[in-house]
Amino acid sequence: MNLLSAIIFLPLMGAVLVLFTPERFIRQTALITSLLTLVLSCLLLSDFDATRSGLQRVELYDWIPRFGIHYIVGVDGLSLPMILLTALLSSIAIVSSWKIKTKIRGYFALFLLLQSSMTGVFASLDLFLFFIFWELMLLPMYFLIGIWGAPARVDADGQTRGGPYAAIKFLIYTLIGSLAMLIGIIWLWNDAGTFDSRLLIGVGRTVEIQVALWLLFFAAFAVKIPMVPFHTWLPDAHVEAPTPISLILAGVLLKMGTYGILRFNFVLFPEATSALAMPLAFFGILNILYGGLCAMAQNDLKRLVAYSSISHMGFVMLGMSTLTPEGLNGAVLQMVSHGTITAMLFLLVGVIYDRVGHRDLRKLSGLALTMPHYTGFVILAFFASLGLPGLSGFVGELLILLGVWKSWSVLLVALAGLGIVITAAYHLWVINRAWLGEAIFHDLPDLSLRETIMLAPLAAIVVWIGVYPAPVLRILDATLTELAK
Amino acid sequence: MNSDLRAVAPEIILILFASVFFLRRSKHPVALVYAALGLGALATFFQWSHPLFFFDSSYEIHKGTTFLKVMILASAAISVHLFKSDPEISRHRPELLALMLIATAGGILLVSARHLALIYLAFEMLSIPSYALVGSIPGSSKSNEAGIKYAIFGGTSSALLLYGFSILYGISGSLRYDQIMTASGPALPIAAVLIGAGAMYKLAAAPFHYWIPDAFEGAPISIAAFLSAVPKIAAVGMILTLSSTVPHESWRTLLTVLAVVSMTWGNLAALNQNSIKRLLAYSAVAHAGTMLVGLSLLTQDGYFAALFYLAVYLLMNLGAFTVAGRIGPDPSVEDFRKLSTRSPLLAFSMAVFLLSLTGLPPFGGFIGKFLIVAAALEADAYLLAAALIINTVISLYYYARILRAMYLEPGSGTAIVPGFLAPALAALVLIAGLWWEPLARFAQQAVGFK
Repeated sequence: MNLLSAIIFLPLMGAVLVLFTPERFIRQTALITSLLTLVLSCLLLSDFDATRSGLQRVELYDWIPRFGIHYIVGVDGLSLPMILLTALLSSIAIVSSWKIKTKIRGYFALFLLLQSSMTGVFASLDLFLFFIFWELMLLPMYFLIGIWGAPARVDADGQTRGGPYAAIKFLIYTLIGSLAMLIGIIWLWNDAGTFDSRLLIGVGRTVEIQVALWLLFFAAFAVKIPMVPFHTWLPDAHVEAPTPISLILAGVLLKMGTYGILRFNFVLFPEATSALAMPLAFFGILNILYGGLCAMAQNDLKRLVAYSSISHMGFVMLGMSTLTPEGLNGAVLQMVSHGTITAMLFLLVGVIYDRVGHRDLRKLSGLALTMPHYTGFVILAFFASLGLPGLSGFVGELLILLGVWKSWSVLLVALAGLGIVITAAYHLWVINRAWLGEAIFHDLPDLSLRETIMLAPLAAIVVWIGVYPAPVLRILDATLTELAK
Repeated sequence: MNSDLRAVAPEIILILFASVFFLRRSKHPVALVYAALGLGALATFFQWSHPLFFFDSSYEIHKGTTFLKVMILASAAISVHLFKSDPEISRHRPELLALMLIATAGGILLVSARHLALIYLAFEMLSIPSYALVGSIPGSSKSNEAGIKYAIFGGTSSALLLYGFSILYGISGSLRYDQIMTASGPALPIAAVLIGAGAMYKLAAAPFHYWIPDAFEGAPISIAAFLSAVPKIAAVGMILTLSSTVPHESWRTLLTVLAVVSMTWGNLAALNQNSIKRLLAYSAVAHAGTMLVGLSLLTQDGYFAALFYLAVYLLMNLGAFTVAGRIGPDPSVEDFRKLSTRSPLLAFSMAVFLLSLTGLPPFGGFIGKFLIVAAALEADAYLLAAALIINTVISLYYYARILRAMYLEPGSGTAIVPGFLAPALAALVLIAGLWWEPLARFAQQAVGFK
């Protein structure tokens, strides 16, 4: 049974179905499609053999054999968690989209198309197929941010803002990176005559050529992560996008950058990877510190969460740069845990925005007094995000720091530790400003059932990984230990 | 002699049908033109064969020429369809259809001509009706001015072409390609440049493109569509022939430089255009540059990629003209506002064309660019590939402006009937992006792959 292809294309079929569903059933159709995909993904998990390090469930079909293009998909311990995360967050995002009122047919069709292409990115093993999915993802994202995001406006500082602006910025940034990768892909193809990534592993290339190819691929992934200084699309896109799309952006799209580096840069160009590990670590630290300091300076809660993502993705890069099993395990675990935590954070920001109509921290105070349940989730998410032991953020960061200690120096551990302090500082400061203090709103309703349904599973995962990460690590370990060699 | 006449059967058919228009007024002029183009295409299909020479080696047929001729006829048919739905001119001006037929015949002849006199004849047969077509809107000074401008530029390029021919004749003492091929001499590069200028003018490559924005803006939209396609295909045929005749380093350099200049100039100039016709005109310049990247490599891979790209370009470019024609005789970017609600199908088709023109997957334009970049890298032309990639990013900006107007900007307007042509072309563009093996095989055979 071609379970993996079913997971990739089920949302696409759902998208087509949505186009022909009567208006009142569109949401339900989208939700059912997404939940079915989630169920299939869980089946994939239950059938996964975690003791093996290689690719499993590989499906290979000819597509355009004359040009060495095949349809090849497969999973291993690296892509499986990402596919699960995509399925889970997509379902939650669709629940979160229930409130979208305008042009829902287009919205849900595009959303399901997005889900298909995201899953495709994580499953593709053929570089051509991978590139198609990678670019296909841009189009629905452009429209989802542009049409359903904030309306176009000019801010007081003369800066153009709003959905259309953020959407084109996102599109242009990502396209520039992707086209560099396209050159890399074609280069490999001209060399080897195939796009099958399993056959392209970089033996026999000189280190110089490997480094050039590594950088071409990295250009695409660095924009997606986003690595400072290529990050400026992110605050705009996250802030102007509607809540469910911010959630997908931060929860899934950013992970594609680090996933791509592990899947292609690390595997295809191993010698270049060891040569470039040090700069990668440097930029990881830069991301952690720069993202953290920027987050501290924000007054818009959503912008703050966006910058905190940059900081957290820095940890992933730092973990990867160690090339140790600890660091890589930590990096991928951090990807999963950041995916869930940041999804919670964006949902929580969306909750407050729905109720008071703004997200300005200067005009928020004492929320804890009026919305106790909400505040409970906020505290959980914030503490997970700042790395409190017992919650998921901590495990990933700890493993990463262990790896850094082993392969780099104490100095880098200290710098990363400084990053954690900054992270703690802005999180606590936000709680202090908006949730403690005098209550200025008195009649805000607490979480609705729908909002609780979205937040509860994420909170459960955050606690579960924090307390007992072993099951997740067991999935990752075999693959990543192999990769670390 | 008999087989000679069969070789030029498509041209004869087109000319005969065109003459009918001048002899008597037909009740169904458009049906007549379709019949002419259909019969012409039928006659062309039978020419899908290995290289054959006719008329004392002055007329060549091979799979490549057939490929180009089929594309010329198909583009002409699409332009005629646009013509039919253009209320401004279609009712009173059946003679314009005759001019289109003659120009089409000229284009076909130009692809196959291997004799300098014949090439010149074909070149003018394509050009002179075009001048009249551009200036054909009665009482419109814009249209008449565009026609005059086009005629002046056209005359100049014909003169350059002739001058190049005279040098070639001086060197080789012959007018036949196969005899010129063996010629050599210091003046040969000069001749190549002069003849190249004539071809570039038809291809609308910068800096020989000055006529195109004004001509497109002044001409009826169907004629603009015609001019964006037919002369371009014929020019590609001319360049392919020239490349096999003068495979000199200077020729390669010339094509490379023109490729980069065209892409960059066309894209930068398109950024600020508000009229869709002008925007598409500059986009045509940029795409001429993209095709030149493939042609300039002088490799089979490059020719193949350029032909593939040409075929996809015709689909998406004529598609964009079709949508523009549905909206109005001279729409601006603002006129596309809210097309997403006025006609969702038309807006979707336009989105497909624009994204494909940009070169995004999963559309045909991406595959075309992909093949061209692959051929360039194969030929070690790294900078050329990089220039193409950078230009892709620039072009995204102005194509996205239309996309943005259609979907993101507020506005109002009446509903529009989508028609069948635009969605059909959009479907073809999508097929060319997902299942492009048939078209690739066709193009490969056209350039002589086994």
